[in-house]
Amino acid sequence: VEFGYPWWLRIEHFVNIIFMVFLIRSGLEILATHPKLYWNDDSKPGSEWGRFTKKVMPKDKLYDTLDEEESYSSIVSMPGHKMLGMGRHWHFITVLGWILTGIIYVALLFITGQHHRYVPYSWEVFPRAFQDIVTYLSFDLPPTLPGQPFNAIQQLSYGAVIFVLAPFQILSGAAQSPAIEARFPWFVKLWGGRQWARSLHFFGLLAFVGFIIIHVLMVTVHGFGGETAKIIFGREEHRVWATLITFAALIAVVILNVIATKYTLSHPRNIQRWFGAVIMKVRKLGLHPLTSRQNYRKSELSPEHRVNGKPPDVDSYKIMAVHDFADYKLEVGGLVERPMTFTLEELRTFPTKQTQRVLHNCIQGWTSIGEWSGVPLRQIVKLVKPLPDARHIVFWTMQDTERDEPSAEGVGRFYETIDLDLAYHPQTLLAYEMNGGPLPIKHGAPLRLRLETQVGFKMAKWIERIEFVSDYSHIGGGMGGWREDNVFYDQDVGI
Amino acid sequence: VGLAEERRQLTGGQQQRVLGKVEERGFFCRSCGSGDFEVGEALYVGFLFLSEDHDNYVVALTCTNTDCRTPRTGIKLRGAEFLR
Repeated sequence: VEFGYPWWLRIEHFVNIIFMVFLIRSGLEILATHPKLYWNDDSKPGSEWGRFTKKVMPKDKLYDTLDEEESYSSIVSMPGHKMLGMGRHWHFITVLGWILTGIIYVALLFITGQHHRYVPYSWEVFPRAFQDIVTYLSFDLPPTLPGQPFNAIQQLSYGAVIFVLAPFQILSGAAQSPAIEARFPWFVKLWGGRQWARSLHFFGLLAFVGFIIIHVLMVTVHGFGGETAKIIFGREEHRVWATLITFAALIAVVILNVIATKYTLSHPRNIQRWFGAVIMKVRKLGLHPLTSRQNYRKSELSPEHRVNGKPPDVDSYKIMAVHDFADYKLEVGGLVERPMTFTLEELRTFPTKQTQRVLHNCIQGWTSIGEWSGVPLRQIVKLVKPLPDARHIVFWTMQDTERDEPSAEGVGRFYETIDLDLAYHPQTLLAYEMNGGPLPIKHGAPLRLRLETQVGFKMAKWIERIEFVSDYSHIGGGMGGWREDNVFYDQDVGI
Repeated sequence: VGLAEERRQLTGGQQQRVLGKVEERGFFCRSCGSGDFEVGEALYVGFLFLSEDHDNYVVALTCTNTDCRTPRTGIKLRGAEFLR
């Protein structure tokens, strides 16, 4: 095999630069929303090993994880300014492109035999790589391996990035999907837990950033013009042109980022619709059909389950709560044959009571493990009998976001929609108990949804009405939920 | 299933102090106008709700008028007013 720089390799290299920049910046946006990293799935406040915020939370007032969110500058994160929804859209659309490019690249490496440049065939490469590092530190250039375009440390580094680090990032990212965790609990345990996967994903990011810095430094050390000429023209020629084109390309990447960031900040709805159209199709195909099969041990329950969302701050709710929700009524209606109303007592004495111990995944990245008991939603669906037109279920809550949740951007009554088929999943539950006691107010009393294959915001709390609809485009902002309408999240969030 | 973590039961003395506050404030049932209540549990709202002062509780009151259509109500009190 003649090791050169074929056209597809050079194009892939440039495309990869663009993808990596967007992946890193959008990844930092996702980190900003819960800028703490843990080695435990409880995400217990104070137990974080990594902390990228100076915010101090109150001890005498209920706070939730929305209050802990940070606003990072657009210079480091994509798009910056506390826009998790947009950060996620950029991360997931880019990762799809990056994985596709990676698959094509690796396939071409093997088809053309170019992969041999990255694969060490002798243990001798390791001491030679060490010797190469020493040579670099002595301000000299190590020799290339016999018959190879790279020296030993280059071969090992490039090989590790392509065949180890990239799959590691993809798999540790997948381990953070509630749908995958719910269907394959062993997979997340393989990583040491969800927060281990998140922390390791962060170390993967650091490894990529470290590689990029050293890679650019080495290109400069080996001769910027000659090295860039190889990756632009395929051979060491036109060094001055190669240098100029490289800088022009880097400026183009910066301009692309500026334009993309500004457009995202000014037209988030368009990004949500365009990127969402692609991302949602992939999710509906790959993650939506997965069903939850979790059953954590009692000993694994989080001593203090984290909270998101604040309860309805209105006297009528407080009076209902102090009377153990005796006056609570759940209305179930819309496109159903038999609209019904249930009191909490009726729900508590429902013939089927189900208990499940599961991992809760917040969209912000934290987790906790809780035990939830209640009525399987499929039982309610069976009673009310949805009409053939019914496609989605709307959960209307008692929470007024303007009044109750100042940290959330937007106003109006909180609601979320789910696809009807999710109601039939075995662990989709209307929960009225938590950890063996009544559902606490901060966790959604008297009734909340548990939907274990989706992230937390879909699991509406303080539910007062359930409505079956054929289409949600006429409800609220028409995007499928309060968070979809106001902070541009996706309607289907299996990751 | 036991008592919710946010609610607490009151002793006889505490209930009496609540009834004293009901009388002092001229609190009446908004449904039937009665001023006679049974005192139930207390919900600590100072921690959970943004608008509430730190020491605030809502105490359950049930109108004793058997004809009352919405007998369940509540009165907001400071802990210091009835939890001694």
